[in-house]
Amino acid sequence: MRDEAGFRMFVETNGATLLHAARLLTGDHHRGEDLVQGALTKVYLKWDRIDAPLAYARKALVTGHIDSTRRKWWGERPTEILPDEPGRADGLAASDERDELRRLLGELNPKERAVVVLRYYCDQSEQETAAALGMPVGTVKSTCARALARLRVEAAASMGGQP
Amino acid sequence: MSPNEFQLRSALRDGEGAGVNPDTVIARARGMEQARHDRRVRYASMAAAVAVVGGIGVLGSVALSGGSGGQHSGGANKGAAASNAYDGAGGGQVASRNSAAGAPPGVPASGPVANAAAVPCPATPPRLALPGGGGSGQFGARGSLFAEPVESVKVCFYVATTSSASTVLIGDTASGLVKSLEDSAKTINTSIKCPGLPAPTERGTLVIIGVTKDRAQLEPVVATLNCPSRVTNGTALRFNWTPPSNIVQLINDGINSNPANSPISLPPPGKVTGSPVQS
Repeated sequence: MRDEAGFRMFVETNGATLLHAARLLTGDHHRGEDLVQGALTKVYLKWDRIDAPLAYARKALVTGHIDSTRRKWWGERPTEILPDEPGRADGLAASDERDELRRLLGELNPKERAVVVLRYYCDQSEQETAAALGMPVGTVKSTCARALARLRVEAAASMGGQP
Repeated sequence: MSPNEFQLRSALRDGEGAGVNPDTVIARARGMEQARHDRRVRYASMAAAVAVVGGIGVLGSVALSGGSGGQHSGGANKGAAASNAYDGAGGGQVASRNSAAGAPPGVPASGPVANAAAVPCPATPPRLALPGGGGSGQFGARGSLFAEPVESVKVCFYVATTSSASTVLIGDTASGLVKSLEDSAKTINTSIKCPGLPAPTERGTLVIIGVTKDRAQLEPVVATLNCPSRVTNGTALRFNWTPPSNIVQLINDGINSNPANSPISLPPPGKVTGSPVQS
């Protein structure tokens, strides 16, 4: 029998953080909600078999996000008429510096974005980030450095200043 | 702007809001579990159906192969079945090499006598179409009546289509009979008389079934005892065959055992009471 009370407590404690991380990863409020629901569903299905549910949820989050960005034959199809995009303009297109940073975050590639979110939002160490993403620690370091450099350059360019 | 780590962290934390409703997650997870369960049940039932159909196919093929094998492994107990096979399909076409296993009571359990005795007489003589309609000179008509050397023969005599008598010949007697059949004329001669054959009203059919050393049963050879007689195995054809004395004896025994041919019983001798003519 699954411990539903424990799962409820876990979601109430960590749901907000995971949801925000999902929004940061996807750059979109609704897609972030879908992503966190998918990750928490995986956690629920394996609740009795996992030792570190938060780490498992983070990993499910970034893996689900990276998988969703891959082109699949059953996935998105090119079309002449673009649908309404509620995404970026929804919460990230703001004028102050914080919103600008988060807009620039959306321009990183999925792995770079995942490294930045895990390192600077979820406060994960390089080792934990490497474990969550399934990549070597050195790759995490280099990816993180490259992502930060891009953020600095893009931010400077957008503000008309020097990096 | 060139963001430092602090600015980056605060920018990322900005906008943290409400959490996630656990009930929604649990309901979604249960729906997924149900869908997975349904999918597993569907796949399992499909696999079971495939297994059942495959099993039926395998059993059917095994049964078919077993049935055809049984047809080639006749014996004393399968006499009736073998007889039916001779009746319907023109004789020698069917079961040309039936094994002669087993022996009826009263004969040795093994040896050439038992092998031939185990061969059942067909219920009716096989109806073999004479090659070329019975005319001489047909392709294959000069071939051997017996495909292999025989160790023993079963000879069955029929009056019309009723089995009347049978005998088993072995050794020289069997080979002598085979030789006499093989050496008969390959072309018909209608001018020859047939003193060795029964009277026209009693003429019948002989079926000679050879059995080889390895107990294989050869195609039956059918001798039609008309004058001139015709002997065939369905391919080879001989004419004017005169049966040897032991076979003539068999024929006579068969004729005598037929109730329709029993001697006419005369009234017992008695006292003459007078002239049949009334005065």
